[in-house]
Amino acid sequence: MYTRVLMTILPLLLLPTATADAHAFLDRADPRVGSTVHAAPHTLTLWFTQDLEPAFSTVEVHDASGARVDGGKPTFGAGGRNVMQIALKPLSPGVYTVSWRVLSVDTHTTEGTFSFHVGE
Amino acid sequence: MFRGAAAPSFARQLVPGLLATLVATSDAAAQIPSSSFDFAQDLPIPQNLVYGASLQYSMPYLKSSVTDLGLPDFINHLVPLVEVQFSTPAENNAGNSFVTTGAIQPGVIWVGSYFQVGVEAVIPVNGQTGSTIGVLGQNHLDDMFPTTIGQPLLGKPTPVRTPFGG
Repeated sequence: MYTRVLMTILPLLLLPTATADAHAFLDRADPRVGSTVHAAPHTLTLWFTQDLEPAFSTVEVHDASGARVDGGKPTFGAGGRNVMQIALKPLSPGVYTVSWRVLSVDTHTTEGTFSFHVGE
Repeated sequence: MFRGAAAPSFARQLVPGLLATLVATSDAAAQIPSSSFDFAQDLPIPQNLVYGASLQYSMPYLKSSVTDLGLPDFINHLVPLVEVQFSTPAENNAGNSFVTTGAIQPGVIWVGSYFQVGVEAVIPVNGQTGSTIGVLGQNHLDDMFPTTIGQPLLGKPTPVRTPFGG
């Protein structure tokens, strides 16, 4: 009886709970994700867990009204092929949303968003 | 912590983000054996309904999409979770109990770029499932042999990075 129950339960216990993928995920950012900075930053820097393909990787920064406040074209490679940077227009106090979409060198596309706040 | 008129609204944005980091999953399936009778043991082989659910909190998502709390790198890779799995005999169970068996499994997974490892306690929900607490270990590998057979057949090799840029 115990063996039969074990044979029933065992396959359930082996079900995968999540997967690890060798994709480019956001490792950290400057300004930090969800942070409040008191001085308006001039650039946004994103570090990823994998090297990026610049031709297929983008980032946009929008203010609370939806207007773009970034310089339009990101740069790559300052500090490594996994680093993407973009210039920012002069930021007034408020909440800013960062939207990124990148292609890693292993051909997987990932995307994400986060916010930071510029305080007075 | 927050200053300025816009700060309270930013704090209000963070709270839903903290809740969005909580993930719930569920699954259900009918377990239908290819044969309905075990002639060796002279027993019917029952059809079971198997179902389960999990509740997970993703620290990687918290750091990359909600708020970077500056926690130690090891903690930023963790996914604490609780899984429950049940099996209920549905058909062809003559002579046996129709009692549901299952387990509650609290644990934690460490997620890296190329592998993940997890450990969970397996707590039986009733005496029909078992009488002792077990331990379940998991290991998921990805991107194996990136410098040899894991390379593309065409094109130049790609550089290998350590997990999470470390």
